[in-house]
Amino acid sequence: MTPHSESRQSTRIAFVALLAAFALFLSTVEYMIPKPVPFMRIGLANLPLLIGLGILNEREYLILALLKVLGQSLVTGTLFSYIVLFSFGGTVSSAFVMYVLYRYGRSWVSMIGISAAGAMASNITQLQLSRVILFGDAARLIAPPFLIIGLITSVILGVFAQQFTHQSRWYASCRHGGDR
Amino acid sequence: MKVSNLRLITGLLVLPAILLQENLLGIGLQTVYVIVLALTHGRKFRILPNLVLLISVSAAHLLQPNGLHLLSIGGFPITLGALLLGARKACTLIALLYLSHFMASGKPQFPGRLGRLISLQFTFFDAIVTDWQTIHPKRPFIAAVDRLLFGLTGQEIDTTIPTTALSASLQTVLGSILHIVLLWLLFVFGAMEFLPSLI
Repeated sequence: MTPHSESRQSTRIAFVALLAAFALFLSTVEYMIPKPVPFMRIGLANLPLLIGLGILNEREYLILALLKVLGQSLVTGTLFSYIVLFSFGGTVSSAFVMYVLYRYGRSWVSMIGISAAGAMASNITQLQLSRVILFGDAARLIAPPFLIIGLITSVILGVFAQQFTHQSRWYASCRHGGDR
Repeated sequence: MKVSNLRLITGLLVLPAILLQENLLGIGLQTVYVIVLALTHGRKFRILPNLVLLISVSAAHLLQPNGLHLLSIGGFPITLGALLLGARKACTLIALLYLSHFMASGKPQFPGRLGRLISLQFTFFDAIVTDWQTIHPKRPFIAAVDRLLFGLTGQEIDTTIPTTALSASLQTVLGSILHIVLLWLLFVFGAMEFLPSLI
């Protein structure tokens, strides 16, 4: 490996770690926002995953998703509990759906659509997990509010991500700085 | 042995005693023990989320009637078996959550590249928390976030893993052994029905 490619690789890794740190920061911010119902989530920490779509390759994107889960669970101390299963299932399924949509459907799906699809994938996975782990068939009772709130917050997040990707000079420099 | 590793190992050894516990009183006592363990290792206990979990999981189990019929609410049967099963499951989940808090309280460090990446993530996280205070909501927000990200991308970040982890003293090791023995004893008492089954 040449010194140039080595330094380029460390820059790429720094991008991933920076986005993962941003996800961790946003999940801390979300934790501090009071919520009217316990299962309501805004999903702010998904913003770096949306931004990362245009910057990272498949491998880096997967690492970002894993770092998001690991970082959050280390901070909250839930790494060895059932909660990490929800976090892992939700993040990986939403990352997969968003990545596939961005790669193959970018021309007909906006960032808002990608964000909404990712949130739906995450919420459906988490509902399935809650059916198996927590509530049994009663999980269907919390499904409608859970999915509706997820849809609304993901659309708002998608609007912000769309604006950010259009206006941010940092994002533009990341895209031009490294060919994926 | 490092304190972080000792807590991880203690938690892993205790895990089956909690997962396999079928006695409600046994799991209740184990849950209280693990909560106290987490509290004495710097973690916080919040009553509301645990209460919500306990009530919602118990209520969800009422949909499948089981055991002694206690009463009916609008034609819906409330059964003792379903209520106790839900409470046991909720207690198991709460116990596992606080065991996880205890295990993570030693700040476990991952080896190799993953460890370096997580370390780098936390270094950036600290920098974001510090720099975020300089962002004014009235400024153009995206431009302000841009400045922050440019500043962090250009920073020289030390990615080496700090080696300041504390070594466990004999007293800490003995304490961990005591926790393992007591939590397994509660499991044995539950399994051998030395503890009342409540049903």
